[in-house]
Amino acid sequence: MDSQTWNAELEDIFVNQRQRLCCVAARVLGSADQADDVVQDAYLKISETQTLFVIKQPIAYASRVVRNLAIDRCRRSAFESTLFAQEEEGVNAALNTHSPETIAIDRQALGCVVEALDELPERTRYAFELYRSGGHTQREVAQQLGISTTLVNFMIRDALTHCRQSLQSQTLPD
Amino acid sequence: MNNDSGDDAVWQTALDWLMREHEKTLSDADREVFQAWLADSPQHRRVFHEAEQLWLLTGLIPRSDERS
Repeated sequence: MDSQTWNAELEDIFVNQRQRLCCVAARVLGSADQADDVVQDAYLKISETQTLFVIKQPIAYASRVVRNLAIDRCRRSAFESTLFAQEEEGVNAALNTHSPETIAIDRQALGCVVEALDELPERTRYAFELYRSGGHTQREVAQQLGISTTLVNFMIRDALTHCRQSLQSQTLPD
Repeated sequence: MNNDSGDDAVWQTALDWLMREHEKTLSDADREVFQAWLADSPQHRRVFHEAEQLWLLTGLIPRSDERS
């Protein structure tokens, strides 16, 4: 799919399936309040990823990105509602500007992470995918793969650490 | 390779918190420990932020079976 076709398809999904995507977000968020916001954020982020990969199942993919972003938002609002409540302004300000959501997607970094994940041993990558995008706990991933939870924990760390190292070696001057 | 073992230890701790948050296994008491850890040093905040950003990026990547 070229980028123009993908753009058209993406727009089609986010217009015609908006209700469905909002439901996905609302289910995670527990209310419809921020659902539309999350869906819009997903649209903006996905449109920046175009041409980095070819999507076979655009609707499933869009649904999962919405779901992931909704989960991240829950996680962060729980985090931010308690975090540094009594701390000085400076810390709060630093934290707010660092909210991942406000950061535009860095295409180069994303491309680097895609490559890094592809370099992982297949089982490690699969375990990470189940954990990150399948919405499973480490215990569930372990059961599904017939391995120990400890091993799953190591695999997830390996995956993220490998991505980090790739990003670092990409940004380091030669 | 990252040979800064101090940084690696902070990174591993950041991943711990990230995973526990993701699985929603943090109690109120855990959150306080987490907050204290973040408040402890700018390095902790920087590395946790780095982990969060990476986490966000990985959430945008389609599974290998959804790509062609």
